[in-house]
Amino acid sequence: MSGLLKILLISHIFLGLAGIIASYAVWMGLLKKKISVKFLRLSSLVSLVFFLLSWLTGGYYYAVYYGQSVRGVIKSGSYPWAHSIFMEAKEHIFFFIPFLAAVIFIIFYFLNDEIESDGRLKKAAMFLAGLTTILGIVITVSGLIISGAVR
Amino acid sequence: MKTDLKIKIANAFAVSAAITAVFITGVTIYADLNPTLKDWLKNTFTHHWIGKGFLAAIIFIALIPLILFIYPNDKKERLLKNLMILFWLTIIGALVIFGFFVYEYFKH
Repeated sequence: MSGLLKILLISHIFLGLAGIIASYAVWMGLLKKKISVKFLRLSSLVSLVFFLLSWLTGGYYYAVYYGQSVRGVIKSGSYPWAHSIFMEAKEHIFFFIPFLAAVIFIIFYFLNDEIESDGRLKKAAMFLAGLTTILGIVITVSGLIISGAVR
Repeated sequence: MKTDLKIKIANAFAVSAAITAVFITGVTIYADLNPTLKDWLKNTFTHHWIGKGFLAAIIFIALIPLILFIYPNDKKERLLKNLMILFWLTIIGALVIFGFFVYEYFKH
């Protein structure tokens, strides 16, 4: 693996984790009685940007290197299901995340006053932030399973 | 900016994301079952996964102004419903995709 691909793979992991942490911060921030809209707006933007960057870095690594050099190793190894189930599901379920993150950011960007006064909107945003975080964690765990299957 | 317009924009984003979630689920499964579509994605976008992601992004971005013009909705009740529709469609989509690949693995 070239140096660039190593950097991209590591960046993909750290950017994804940073996106999950920011999304978790939004989720937890919404659970508070007195919310800080400024903090939530910033955290949701950070989450969106990190997920988009993780998509780009991971996507380049996946399209250029994974299919040619890693997939075959996993499929001919002891854990072919790691690719056939977890990688296939991971790479497609990931697509949901940036769009969810974009909607959450838009809610905080445009409806900052509403979210403070309307508990129902706060609850809906909390559900979406929670779902984004949980999907991110599921995808991270899938990544660990896939990495383990290569060894 | 007026609150009505802000709700219209948020509604457009929520509906667009919900439709995109349906597209992602559909194209993932259909491309796996239909080699012609998978090959088209591969030939057009260099990789089927890049093609799916690119098309999902285009659909999401293109639908926002389209919904704002043809289906503008400034009702907060509608926004709350649309956000929950997005929430459930994403969960169903993720479960369907995971279930599909489990089924495909054990079928072959």
